[in-house]
Amino acid sequence: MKHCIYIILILVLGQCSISSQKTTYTTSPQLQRNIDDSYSTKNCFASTKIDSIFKHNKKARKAYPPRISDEDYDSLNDQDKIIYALEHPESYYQICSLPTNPKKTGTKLMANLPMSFDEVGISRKQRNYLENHRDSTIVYLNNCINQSVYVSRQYKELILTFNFYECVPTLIKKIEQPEQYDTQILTTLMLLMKYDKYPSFLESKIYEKLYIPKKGEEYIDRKSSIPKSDKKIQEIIGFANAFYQEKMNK
Amino acid sequence: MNLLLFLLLFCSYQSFDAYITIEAGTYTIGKTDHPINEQKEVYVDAFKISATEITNEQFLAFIEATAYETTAEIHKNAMTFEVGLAEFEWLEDSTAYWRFPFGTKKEGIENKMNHPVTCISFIDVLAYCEWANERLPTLAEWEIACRANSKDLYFWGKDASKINEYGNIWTNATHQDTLISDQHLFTSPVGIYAPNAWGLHDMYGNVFEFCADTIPNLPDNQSVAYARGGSWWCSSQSCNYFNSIDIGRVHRYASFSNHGFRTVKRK
Repeated sequence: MKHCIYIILILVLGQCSISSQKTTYTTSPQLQRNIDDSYSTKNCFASTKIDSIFKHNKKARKAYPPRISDEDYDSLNDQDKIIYALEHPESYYQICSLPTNPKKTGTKLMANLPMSFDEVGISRKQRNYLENHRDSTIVYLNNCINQSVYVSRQYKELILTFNFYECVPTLIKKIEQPEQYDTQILTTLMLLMKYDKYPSFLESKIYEKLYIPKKGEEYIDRKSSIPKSDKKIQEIIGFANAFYQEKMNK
Repeated sequence: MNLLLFLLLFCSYQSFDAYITIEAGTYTIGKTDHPINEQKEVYVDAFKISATEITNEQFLAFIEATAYETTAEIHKNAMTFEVGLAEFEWLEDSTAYWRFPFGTKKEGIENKMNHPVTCISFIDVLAYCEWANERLPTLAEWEIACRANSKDLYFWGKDASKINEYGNIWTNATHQDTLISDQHLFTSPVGIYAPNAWGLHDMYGNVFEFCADTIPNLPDNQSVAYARGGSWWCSSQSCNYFNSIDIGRVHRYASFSNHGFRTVKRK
């Protein structure tokens, strides 16, 4: 009997020690390199209708940038219009300076996403569509993020541009999958809270270190960073979870 | 009195050389640890580079001589700007092209013939160069000409706030409004800001200047064009060192109302 109690005690203590183990967040160096070097995840979900329009319309293919006519655009269903906006951006962008991003970002938590504007981006028409179809766009984005190996920078920027805080749980889920996250997802979460002026985050030490200029300085370096640690990651996730709950409860 | 004014204007317009000769030699360009433009020594042969950006007047001469149709006229895809747009946002305007860089509903270039030509694509620039028997500077040549042997980040020294003496840039913090009065909100006449030590004007600001070559090991080199120097759009918050070191890029068929060029004489 005495032995049984010891065994039970050992088992219970063992269980406790397992559950109190700190979560370790792992990221694949190769994945981080891919994220640093690439911008978009093309064809997360393809649209046979859009593909067919481009295939049979030389004018659409040869346009600069390639784009379908207004008539063809109007014939697309809602899902296709989202895909068209995300996968076939039809406007030109300019990049003032080629990305001068710090190397080895996987070891740091960066204040900002890398300067990554592509030479093409969404047009005003496409932007308006995504804005006006927020719910279905978020469903699409969440599905894409869940099914892709990594979250493209294009999607991270879209989440920030449109304040898609509804994607927070999906992003956090990605962080918690072994070797499935890159540090830019954490940056995306922090920027979401920063842009939304989430008070708890704005009062945090992490925010102070990353986003508030030092005494005597007018601006903070957009490449500012802090060393990555599991504790800080947990703290950011905690803020992001609370931020999401607060937004959803409003 | 009118004659005197004309002579004064004429003399001031002619007060700088059309081309500046850059001597052959080895020059230092780039910046330590810069991922694209690492500090290095480069040798260049002597070259003659235009002291100012190519103007509307010069581009008009090309159009009149060749009846050339620009990319924006053919594809109706020029990108224009208006105060109030989100940062880094540009608007496509099917009516905009080099004669109307902000679209036909806005003022054209009639009274801006001494401003740099804009709303032209890299493809258009190559056509101009072919006609003029000139070429674009390489990225290295552009930087050598801009630095004028300065060891500092800017050709005038280290103080970034002096940029307003040397270049037409965006003086407001954002592009949402114009709280501070800007001497030239968009382009300015070429050559009115102070030159660098070698007599080159507008190396910073006014218009982004297309350069000739590509950067090794970067993707999409065939579809993009590189540009230097920043433009009237660039503000202290949105441009890193006003492109002293950094290199801008756009699609080769894109025509923005803040992109122009200067040329180098062919030998």
